[in-house]
Amino acid sequence: MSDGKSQSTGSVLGSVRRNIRQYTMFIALVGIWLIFTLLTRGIFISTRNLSNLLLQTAAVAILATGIVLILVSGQIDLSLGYFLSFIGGLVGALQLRAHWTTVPSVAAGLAAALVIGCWHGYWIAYRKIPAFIVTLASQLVLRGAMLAVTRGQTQTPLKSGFLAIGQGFLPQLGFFKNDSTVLVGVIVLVIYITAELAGRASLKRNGYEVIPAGRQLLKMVLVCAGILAFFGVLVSYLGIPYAIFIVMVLGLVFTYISRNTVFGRQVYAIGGNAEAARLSGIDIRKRIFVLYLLMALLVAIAAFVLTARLGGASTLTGGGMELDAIAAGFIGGTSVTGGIGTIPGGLVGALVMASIDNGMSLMNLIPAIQLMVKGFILLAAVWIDIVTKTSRQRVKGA
Amino acid sequence: MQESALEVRDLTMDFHGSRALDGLNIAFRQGDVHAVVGENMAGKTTLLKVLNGLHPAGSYLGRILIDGTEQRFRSIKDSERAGITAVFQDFALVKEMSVCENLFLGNEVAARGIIRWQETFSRARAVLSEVGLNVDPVVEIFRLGVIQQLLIGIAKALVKSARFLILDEPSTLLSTTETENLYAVIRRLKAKGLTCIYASKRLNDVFEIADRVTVLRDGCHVMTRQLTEVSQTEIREWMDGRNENPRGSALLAPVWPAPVAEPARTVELPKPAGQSSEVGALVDYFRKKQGYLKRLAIKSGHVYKVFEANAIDCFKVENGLVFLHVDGGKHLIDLPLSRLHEKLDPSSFYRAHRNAIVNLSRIRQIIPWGRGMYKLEFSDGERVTLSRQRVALFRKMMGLD
Repeated sequence: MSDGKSQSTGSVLGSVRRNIRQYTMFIALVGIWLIFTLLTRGIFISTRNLSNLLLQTAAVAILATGIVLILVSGQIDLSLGYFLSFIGGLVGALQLRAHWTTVPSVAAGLAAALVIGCWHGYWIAYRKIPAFIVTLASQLVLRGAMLAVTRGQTQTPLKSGFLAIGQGFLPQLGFFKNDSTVLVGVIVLVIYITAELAGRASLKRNGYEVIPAGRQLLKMVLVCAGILAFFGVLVSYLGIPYAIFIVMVLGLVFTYISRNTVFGRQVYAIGGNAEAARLSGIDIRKRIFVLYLLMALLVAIAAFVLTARLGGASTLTGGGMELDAIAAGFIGGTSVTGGIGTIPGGLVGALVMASIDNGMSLMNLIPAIQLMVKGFILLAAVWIDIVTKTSRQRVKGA
Repeated sequence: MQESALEVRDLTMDFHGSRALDGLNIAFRQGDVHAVVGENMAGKTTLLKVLNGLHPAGSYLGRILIDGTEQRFRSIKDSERAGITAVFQDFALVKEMSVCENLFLGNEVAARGIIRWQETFSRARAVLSEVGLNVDPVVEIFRLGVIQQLLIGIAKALVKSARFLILDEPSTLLSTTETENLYAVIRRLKAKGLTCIYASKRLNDVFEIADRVTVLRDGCHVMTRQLTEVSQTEIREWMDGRNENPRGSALLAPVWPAPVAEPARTVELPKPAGQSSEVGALVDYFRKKQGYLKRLAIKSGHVYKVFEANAIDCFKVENGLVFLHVDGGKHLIDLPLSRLHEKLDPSSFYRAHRNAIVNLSRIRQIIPWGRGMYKLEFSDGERVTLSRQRVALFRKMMGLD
């Protein structure tokens, strides 16, 4: 009946193609992990390394969360790297030379980021200057600003309260080792299972067909196994780092925003068909402005996490990170033409990029090879996007 | 005499250096289906965009009045609040998003910014049934056909509690059946008191559903009348601004021969055993190929003509072109035989194809149209554009030269 409608002629192929896009990321990730495990004789898969890997992913993952929405809306942001580096440098300078404590310096960093976000939003949304140009220009300006604020020197040491953001772990509750991590893991499991079952019940209530119980169970078992493995790795080391906790929270919040809020859905509409969005009365300028504000906020948070993890704000931090974040977005399934993309996909994309970095470092490969491999993977990801999109274009051509 | 619900007064607009609208004065009455007709560049779409708020107040001179009160639309939202919604030719849909998301795009069912999906689904179903569309609200738009997308565009207008529905040439992409479907929806909406403003080049549409018609030509208002007071010919003449005979060329003589009944000729198609008539052979051939052939539908211009298979009384294949003699008139299907079966498949109705059918005995006049092109106008008002070469070819094939 209603499910039959979705299974119209083109859609069987369409749904396979759509699922290929989603499953490709996971397959790629698992494949890469397997390859590196073999090549590093198991070091890659050790809990210590995986825990480090997750930490290394954190900053790019936070950036990817924002850049996915920006790419979905059909825009871009090339300033991320030096933007991050500037905020980190600012916070470092305030702590080191002006002797500000953690909270005021973090607040200043957030404020500065929001001002820069307004700047981007104003020129891109209201003055209609292409985002490419505005953020490219910004990149240069912020790089200069960063050098000015740090006077070309690494800002270290930083306040311990601040360092905890990047290096600390979720505090123990006192019952057993890493009990807080276990608690968070249990909460995530419960949330997932409830959401899946509630979704299934809602589908049934609305008269849709649901996937057979066996397959549903298998799917849930696999995902729960993944969640358990994830938390298991963390529990067996030192627990959840604050950085990862921040990534999880931001990931959840932004996924919710992208799926269930008016703002989120309108962003997707703007990317999918800006003309349709305009004719529907959506204020595109306002939405894009807010997008760049949100991106700025995320850049600031990523700056705090990265600077704290590294223990200092170096002039070398951050440069080029925008490319990592954008690549993460595309690898995670964001479409080059806008309108399609998910935040979980971006996070997986970030993990893929970081895994490659991590694995190759473990193998002592020179950075040149690392860069080349990353470049090819990005190309492959976008190629897959184009190929899966073409079939959809054919289906929709009328 | 009804109060005019929506009115434009002295509407003048310049667009990209030329005068798109020139002092229009038109009154639209509540509950009417009001057709706005004119050739390309007559100003139909510009007028609709002014009414819709796409061309905001300030970009034109003149006034828009609803129930006698002047309106100034600074954006689409303003016109929507006043009860005007428009469906333009691209339907304004985001193809990757679902039906219900598109229906409520810009008017989301939400509380404090968070979308309420259950309510969205139920309201989507309600409005879809109002336009007689039985689709799943969560299906993505790109999976649906053209008529469904158009109806969703109309449903979207209903979601905004429109009082005035503006349609810009909706039947351009539709087949005959789909157009009938559209007419039925418009009639249903009219019964609910909606005023429908319908821009079109096709007079068939106009005479099917409209109550009043306005003719525009080169941005000027030519006339507005009740449909019962005018004929198609008159409207056509007003649209063209000509009453004189068309200019022909040496290639096309103004005198056309009367239709001649052609005797049946032999055809080189595999005959199934036991078949005697050639027509039967053709029909059977395709029935075998496709598994069915009850009717033959041939696209002619924008209209599909449907013939019962047993009304085909003879055909001829010559130089790879197929001629059918159907229903007392000769029809040329300008297609190689090998592709004929493709075109006879009903599912191919939705594909545009270039080939035109010319019933040469029904041509009323030939109008030169641009460079090397001719518009052939038939006795029922329908028009087909053909190149000079093709008309010459047809004349040759029909033995007129």
